Amino acid sequence: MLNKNNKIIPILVADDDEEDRMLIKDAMEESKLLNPLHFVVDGQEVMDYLLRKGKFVDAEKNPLPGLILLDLNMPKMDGRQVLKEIKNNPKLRTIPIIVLTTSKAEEDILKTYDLGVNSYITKPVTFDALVDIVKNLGKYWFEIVSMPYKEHL
Amino acid sequence: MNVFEAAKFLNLGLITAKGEDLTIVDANGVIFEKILTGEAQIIGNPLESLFNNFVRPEEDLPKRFILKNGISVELTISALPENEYYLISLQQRSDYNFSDTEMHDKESRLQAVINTAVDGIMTINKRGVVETMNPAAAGLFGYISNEVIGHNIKMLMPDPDRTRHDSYLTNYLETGHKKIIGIGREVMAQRKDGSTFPIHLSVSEVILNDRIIFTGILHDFSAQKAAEEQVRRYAIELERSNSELQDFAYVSSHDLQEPLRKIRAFGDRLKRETQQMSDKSIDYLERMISAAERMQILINDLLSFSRVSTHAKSFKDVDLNQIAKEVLSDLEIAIENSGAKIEMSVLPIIEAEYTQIRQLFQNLIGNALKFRKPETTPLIKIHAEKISQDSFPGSKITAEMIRISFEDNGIGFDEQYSDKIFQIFQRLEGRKYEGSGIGLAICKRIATRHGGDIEAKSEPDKGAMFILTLPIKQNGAVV
Repeated sequence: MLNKNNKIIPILVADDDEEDRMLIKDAMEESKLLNPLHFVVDGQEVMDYLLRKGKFVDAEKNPLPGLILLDLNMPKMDGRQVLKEIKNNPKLRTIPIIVLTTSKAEEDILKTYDLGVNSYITKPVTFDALVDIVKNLGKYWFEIVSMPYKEHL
Repeated sequence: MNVFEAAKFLNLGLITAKGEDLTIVDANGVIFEKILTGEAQIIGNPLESLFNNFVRPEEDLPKRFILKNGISVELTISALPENEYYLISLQQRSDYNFSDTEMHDKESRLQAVINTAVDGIMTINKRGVVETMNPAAAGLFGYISNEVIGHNIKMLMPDPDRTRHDSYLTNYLETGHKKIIGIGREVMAQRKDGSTFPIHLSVSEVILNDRIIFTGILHDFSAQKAAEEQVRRYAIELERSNSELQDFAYVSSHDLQEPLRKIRAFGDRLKRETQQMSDKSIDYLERMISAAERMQILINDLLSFSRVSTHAKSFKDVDLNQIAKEVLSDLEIAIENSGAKIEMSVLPIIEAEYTQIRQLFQNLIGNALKFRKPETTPLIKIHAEKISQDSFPGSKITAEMIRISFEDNGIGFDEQYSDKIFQIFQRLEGRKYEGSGIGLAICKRIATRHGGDIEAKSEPDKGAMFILTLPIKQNGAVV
C-alpha cells in the first residue's frame, strides 16, 4: 500500500548529539510536522531499530520508519556504514534516507550519493534555517512525492 | 750458453709451460736461485700454484703478482709458435735503487709529511699488526704510538669489527675480494678510554719487495656526523610539528564548530523569547550571538587556511587569463557598484593548482576593491612579466618565473606593516572593513606552496601594489 499525504509516517532520527536531536524535535514542532519521531543515538542502534533487535524488539513501540534522517559522524557504526547496510538490505533499501550532517566535505557528499542516499543536507547554523529545512522536507516528502511506505514491511 | 740461461744476467726468470692450465715444463736458474728460493719442485705443476691469487692475464701484457713467498714479480705470458707452449717471464720488481743519501733524504721528507699530517696514518702487516702510527692517529685514539705499534689493529675497534677483523684480513688475502681497500668507508673507532667515534677510513694495499702492508688514512668524522645528525633530527622535528599543526588546525576547526553552532542555534531560540526579557538582557544576548558569529568566521577561515596544504591537489596547466576572467565575473557586482576600472595585460599559462590560484586572484582583486578610497574611482592594474630568478635564496639554480603585479589606487598602508599583513588574523584596518585578516595569509601560503612568493608595496593614501612571483613550471615539487 503506497501512501500519499500521510501524516502518520514515522520518521527515524539518528544523531549522537543530544542538542541536535533536541533542535530537530523543536524544528519539527515549529514547522507543524506532526509525524511520530523516533530517535536513536548511533549507527548500531539504527540497524537494531530497523531489524527490531535488542531494546527495539517491540514492533508496536518501534514502527518501521518511512523516512530516516541520518547523521554521518556517529560512534560505533557511522552513517556511511549504516547507509551501506540499509541499501544492501532488500527489505530496507526502499526507505528514503536523508543525510543531515555538519560535514560540507565534497568527498562525503560524493560518497553518500554513491551509496544511494536520497538527499544530503548540511546542518544549518541558525535555528530559523533548520526550521526552514524541516518545513521543506515535510512539504517535499509528505505532500509532493509519493512514498514507498508500507506499514507492515 | 743458451739464451734461456743467459737471461740470468738480466735477472729475468723464464718458464716454459704447456696447455691451458699452463703446466710448468721448464724454468731457468733465475727462477730457482733468485725468485723461488726453496721451492724445488715446480716442474709439472700448474703456473698458478706459485701464487696465492693468480688470474691469467692477457698474453703479452705484463702484470704484477705476488708469489707465495711474498716476492712481487711482473709476469708476462707469450704464446710460442709451437702448439700450446708458452713462454712466461718473471721480472722481480726491485725497482729503482736509490743511493743511500737519496734514500735518506726521501725518507726523512716522507716521514716529515706523515708526522705532520692532520689525518691519522697507520700501516699494518697482513696479520693486522700495527707497524707505524703517526702522531695524528695516536692523538685520535688517545694513545701514544708505542702503546699501539706491535699490537693488533683490532684494539682500536669496537665490536663487532674487533672480533671480526682477523677474518676480514684472512678473507681478503684468500679471496682478493676488496671490501674496504681502495674504497674507503665510514667505520667506528674506539679510543683508549673505551669511547667510540666515527672515522672515515681509507685503506690502500702496498706491495713491497717481499711482502704486503696495508696503509690506513683515518679522518675523524665526529663533528660532521654530529652536525648531520642534528640536521636530520631538526628536519624530522620540523616535519612532525608541521603536520601536527596542520592536523591541529583542521581537527580543531571541525570540532570547534560544533559547540559554536549550538551557541548560535540556542541563542536564536532564546531570541524568540525576548518579550520576557529586559532591554539589557536582549543587548547581552545579541552581543553573545554576534561574538559567536565572529568566532565561527575565524574558525572557518582557519579551516580554509589549513586546507591550502591539507587539501592539496595536483598541479596542472592553468590559464591565468581564464582565472582572471572568472574572478572578475564573480566580483561583477562589487565592480559595478564601485565603478572600478580594470586594466590587465595578457597573462601566461602556468603550472599550478587551479582552485588555489583562483582564490589568490580573488583575494587580491577583492582586496583592491574593498580598500578603495571613498571619493575615488577604483583603478586596478594587473600586469605580468617573465623573469628569471634563483629557485631559492642563494641557489645557483634559476627558474623561469612569472611576476604578476596587482596595483590599485586605494587607501594603501604604511609599508612598515608589509610583513605583518601576510600573517594570519592580522588586520591593519579596524571593524570598518569586514573580514578576519585571513585573505593575505592564504595568498602567501598558496604562493609559497607553489614555490613562489608574494610581497607588498604601499604608502598610506597612495594605493598598494601586491607583487606575486610564481614559477612557470613546477618540476613535480610540492611543498
